[in-house]
Amino acid sequence: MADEDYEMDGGYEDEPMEPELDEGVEVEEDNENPDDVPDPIEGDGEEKQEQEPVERPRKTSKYMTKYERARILGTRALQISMNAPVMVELEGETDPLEIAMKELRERKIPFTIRRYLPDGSYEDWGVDELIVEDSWKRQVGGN
Amino acid sequence: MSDQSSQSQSLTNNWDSLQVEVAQYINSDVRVPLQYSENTKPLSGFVQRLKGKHGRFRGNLSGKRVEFTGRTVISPDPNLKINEVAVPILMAQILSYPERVSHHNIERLRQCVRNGPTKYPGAKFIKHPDGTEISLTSKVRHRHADDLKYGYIVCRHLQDGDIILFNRQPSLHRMSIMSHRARIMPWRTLRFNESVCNPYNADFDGDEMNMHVPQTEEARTEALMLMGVQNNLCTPKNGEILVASTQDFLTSSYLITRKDTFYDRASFSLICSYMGDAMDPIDLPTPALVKPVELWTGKQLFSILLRPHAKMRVYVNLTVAEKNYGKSGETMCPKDGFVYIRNSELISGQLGKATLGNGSKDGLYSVLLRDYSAHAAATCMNRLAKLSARWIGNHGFSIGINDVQPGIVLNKEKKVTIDKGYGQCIDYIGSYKSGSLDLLPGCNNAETLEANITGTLNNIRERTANVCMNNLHWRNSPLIMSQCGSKGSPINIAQMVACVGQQSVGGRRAPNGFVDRTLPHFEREAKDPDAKGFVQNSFYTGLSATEFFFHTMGGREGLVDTAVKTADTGYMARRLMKALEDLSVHYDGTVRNASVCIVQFVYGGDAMDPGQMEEKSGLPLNFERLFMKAKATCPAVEQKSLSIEEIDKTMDEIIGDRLSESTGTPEGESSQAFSASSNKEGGMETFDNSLRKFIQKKYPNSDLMLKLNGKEHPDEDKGYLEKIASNICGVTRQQLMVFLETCISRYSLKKIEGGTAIGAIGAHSIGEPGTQMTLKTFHFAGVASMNVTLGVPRIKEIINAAKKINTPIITTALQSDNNEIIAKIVKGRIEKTLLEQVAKSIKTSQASRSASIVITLDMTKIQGAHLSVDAYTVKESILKTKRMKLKEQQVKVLDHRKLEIVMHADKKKLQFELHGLKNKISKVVVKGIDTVERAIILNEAKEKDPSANKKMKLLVEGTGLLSVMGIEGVEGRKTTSNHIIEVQHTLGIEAARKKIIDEIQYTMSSHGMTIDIRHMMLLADLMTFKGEVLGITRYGVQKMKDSVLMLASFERTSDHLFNASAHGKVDKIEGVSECIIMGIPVQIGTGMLKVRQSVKPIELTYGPDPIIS
Amino acid sequence: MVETLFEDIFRVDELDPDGKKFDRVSRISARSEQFDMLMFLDINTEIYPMRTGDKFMMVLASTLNLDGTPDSGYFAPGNKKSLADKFDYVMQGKLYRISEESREKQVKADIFVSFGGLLMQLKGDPSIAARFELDQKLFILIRKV
Repeated sequence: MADEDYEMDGGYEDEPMEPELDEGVEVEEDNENPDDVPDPIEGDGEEKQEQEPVERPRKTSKYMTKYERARILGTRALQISMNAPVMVELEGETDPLEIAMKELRERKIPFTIRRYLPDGSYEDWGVDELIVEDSWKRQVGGN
Repeated sequence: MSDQSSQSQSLTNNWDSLQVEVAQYINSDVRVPLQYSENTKPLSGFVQRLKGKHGRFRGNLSGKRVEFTGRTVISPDPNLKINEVAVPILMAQILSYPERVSHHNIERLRQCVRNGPTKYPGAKFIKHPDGTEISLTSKVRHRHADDLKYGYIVCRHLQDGDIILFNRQPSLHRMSIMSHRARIMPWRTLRFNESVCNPYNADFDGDEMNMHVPQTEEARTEALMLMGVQNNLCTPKNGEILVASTQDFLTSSYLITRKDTFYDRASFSLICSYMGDAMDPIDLPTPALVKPVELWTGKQLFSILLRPHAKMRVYVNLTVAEKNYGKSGETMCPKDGFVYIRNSELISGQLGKATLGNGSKDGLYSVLLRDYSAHAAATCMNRLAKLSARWIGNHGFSIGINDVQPGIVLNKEKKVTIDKGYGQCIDYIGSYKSGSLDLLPGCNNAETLEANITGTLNNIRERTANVCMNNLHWRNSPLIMSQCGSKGSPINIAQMVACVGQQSVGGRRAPNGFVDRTLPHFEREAKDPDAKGFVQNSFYTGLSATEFFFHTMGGREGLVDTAVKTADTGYMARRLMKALEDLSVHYDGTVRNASVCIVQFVYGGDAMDPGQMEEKSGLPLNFERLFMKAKATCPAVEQKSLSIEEIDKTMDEIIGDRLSESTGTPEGESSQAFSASSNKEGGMETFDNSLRKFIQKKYPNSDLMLKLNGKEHPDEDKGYLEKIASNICGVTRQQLMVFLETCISRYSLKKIEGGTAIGAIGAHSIGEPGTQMTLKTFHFAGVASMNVTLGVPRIKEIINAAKKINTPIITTALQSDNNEIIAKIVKGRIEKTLLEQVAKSIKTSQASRSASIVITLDMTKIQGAHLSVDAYTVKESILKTKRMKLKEQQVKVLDHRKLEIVMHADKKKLQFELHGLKNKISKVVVKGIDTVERAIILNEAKEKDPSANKKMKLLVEGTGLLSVMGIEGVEGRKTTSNHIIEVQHTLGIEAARKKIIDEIQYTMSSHGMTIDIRHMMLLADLMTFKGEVLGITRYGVQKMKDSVLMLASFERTSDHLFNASAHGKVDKIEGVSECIIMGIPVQIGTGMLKVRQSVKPIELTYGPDPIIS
Repeated sequence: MVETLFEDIFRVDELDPDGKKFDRVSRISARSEQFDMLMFLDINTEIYPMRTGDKFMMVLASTLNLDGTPDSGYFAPGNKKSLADKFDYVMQGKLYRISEESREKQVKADIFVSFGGLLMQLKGDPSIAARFELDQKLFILIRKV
């Protein structure tokens, strides 16, 4: 495989253009800094009061995204693997992930999803409030 | 004194050399005055450590070495499921997974610990909660096994069912790395189902692949849910299915479903059992042939494959036209090329690539995936893989010399065609030499000859290929493979059997490597087919020496192409990725970059997920197919079909209800403003309309129905007519409801989800096809002589937002597009006409003191070309031309076709200047636009019928869009250029955005690639959202992003770092590159949200407890 | 006797009107005597040869059971007495499409049946098509006369 990357870094000839260009960028940067928008998603420290709690009606989709699903199942599977109490009746499942999926199917996962909007505000959605698309159910176990 | 000076001299010397040393310490590449550079030791400065592919940034920070990986040769195994990969035991014993001991697994893990690191399934280490780690190599492991407690971590060997990531380089799109489940097997290769070759672009000629073992529960889950093979069956590039049957699977399906394959009960049951592992129940259907012998057909076998038993509720409905479909008759196609599956029963058609293969949207697996689930599609693929592999193993399929031996008919036919074609070519050459060749528009004599000969020769190959294909027996293996689409094309067969055909280098016939000839075997200036690389032999008959040489010339071009292309496209893909990596869909539906600048308000204009689009052109749903499914799955039975009015009424009811509730937002009315942008304008409204339109098309319109309404009928007659009509095209209420219901509910699930890294997907979707584009640069834009840059170079131009492009073309619309004469006039106005082209003569006359040039215009030529040029306009143009330096009185108009230019100068110089002026004057542009090379009239309506409405258009080669638009007779509102920067300057940024989209799409589609338009929209939006067109180059990216780390990891690492340190820049670490460099989770996808444990609020009751409860 | 859905005597006009494409299967085009129906039918000529000019009786029935009980759809071997006993060539299939074609005010109806991939197209007066239902299981019974 000849995927030697096209080496553009080495020996560029167009040096002269540089200074002006960067100067411009620099000025912009300085102007921007004062009204620095607080990072919306970083959401430092749990206890620190974050932007604004939900007051207005929630407006994001009522469907659970696949990323939310993956994250929840992952977190929950980790908890279960560390011997957290299981919220559903087990029928011989031992794989933490499988158990987590069963919990989600029965909407028993005790989590809240905090969805951050780009302006830094957030919406809280309980896992049981969200509609889970059901085609995922059968994809466990590879069978 | 001299002492002091020498001292200061040495001081400066030392100072300078210190300077050099310091400079080289920082950057060993700095240019150093010669006297200091005597030491040639290869030192590497700080900058060298940082920059470049193997520097700190790209080599160590953006990508790191990892543990728990494996790599070895791959091989196929159709008995594995598509989401499995066979891992050699040797590998499984080295790779481990840290499993925490809980009461579910303690016994199993104890056994692992006892087995130790060398016996499979064993374990390598035990980790205690306090952090101590115990190796299990020693014999004491039995004691450790007994001491195992809950909460310990056992690093056990890889086991069946463990989740691993599987990857093949080059990883061009996200399907190049997918998660599979491990299957521990003996031997030494990684094995997987051939159906998964496509996404990895793998074959088994020695390819190696990598695997990684995720080490935490979270990582496994995310890998399975997001990267699992089952969740990546189709590509987000355009929604086509990517994981699908290939090669032998197609061949055997094709053979099994042949119309004349019959099986008796024993063999039919045997083949049925091939499908699974003899574990699944199968309902044996009634044989198709009941008498005189009970025989089942291959098609029935396939019906079983789709739906093995009655409890399985899978009802596939689809129609596909296969390759050999005869274009009419639908199911009754005599070659059985029309595949119709009705309620999981294969009604007709021989299955091939269009149904089972990748790259289609109406194929079986696509339908299963959309109508049912990924799991349904996957199990079906598993069944087919097992069936085909086992069946073809028994049946046998190979290729031999007799497969490529031409028959007598073919040889005769071939000779005739070749002789005829050669004769034609010789005629062309003859008339070329005598100059009597009819010129093609916009071509000169030699070009016309080339075009004609190439056409003829290609025709020969095609003709012989056709004859060859028609004369092969149906059992011919190459023919079977080509027909079912598993491997090879008719051209390949024809080259083996009949005739290899014209060899070309750079899109032309073989070039002259010797003086005026290709090879010394031919005469000079020889233009005949043999001398220019036409190979009339086949690979079977063997090539002659010269033919062989020409063939190698063509072959070499291909090799060079691939070598050059990989580097080019690789760099392009990297740039695209760097520019687009941080774009993601936020929860409010907007597409923003890492610093939350809005790039698109609604993704792709309708917030649809390109990976889920079911319709070929990128619309969300294929109504036609869904309607068919609704009708097939809900039999009318006793229900009456609806009248038109009833249909309308039902439709209004359902659409009204469902659409409003399924907008996806919970608190309906209150979120008006929010949903208005994303739903009403973008998608929902248009979806609603298209749905209504579709239903209107489906109104009952049977002739019988009309007859029924028109005439009086006796009652019983009426009854049966009604019945037939409803059988033919009636819609019952239930069918309509099911149809609308599926459409609407499915539509709302196809919305793009918040958190999707749509930028990265877009970059993949444009970068990956780039690598597949053969570097054929040129292509005809309607007219033979008009070449347009295409392929990778063109994509590069567009993406770089190049100021100077190779073939700028202005597509000019005409105000009256049906008149050839007007078109010619406009063409004359646009095209640059030089004085020498319209002058009959430019004569110099010299007297003693003065000299003059007399120009006589060729009026017949001028009128013939419809130019409004006469002596007066020529005078003006001469005066306007700046370099002339002529004064008005110097140019005299003698009459309307003659003018004189008088010169005054020194006698000595006169002669010299006169000639200079004559040369200059002949190049004066008398009419047209300077920057335009030429214009060609294109009649778009030509192909269908020459007499009917002409639709003329001008293709103008060159730049100067503004001036072209200003020319009289040009419809400026419909005139555009393919030069993006020029479009931006003349028409504005929105026009430039549209142009980027159109041009990328055009380039891609001319290479037969479909990419969802939303990806291109995103790219165009990113390039234009700052108000000017920014290329995806280091300059453009610099203006788009503010993160220093990101820019440093892209290109010019050191410059960005120096700058940032000098100016004290701040990097907020929000983008993807920065987060990866810093080792922080990226705020995209699963990293976008937070999960909190919801604790039930404790209800505190105040007041005394009731005494009596 | 069981009630059949259609009965007529056909005469083979042509064998493989579009050229022979398959070794063991031929498409015959046949015309009926009584109802003037046009039929295209794929027949396994290896086990039941047909020639142009052959006349045969064709019956369409929804079950082979003599008592008229509907067919289960499953394969149930056994030497029961059935309608098939009187015929030489019997196929089982499914009606998948009914369509119409109008030419000069004359409307003709087509019914399409697939016998495990061997297709039949029966074109004729709409009144005959009215006896059939979509997705109906059908048996075709043929006996040369």
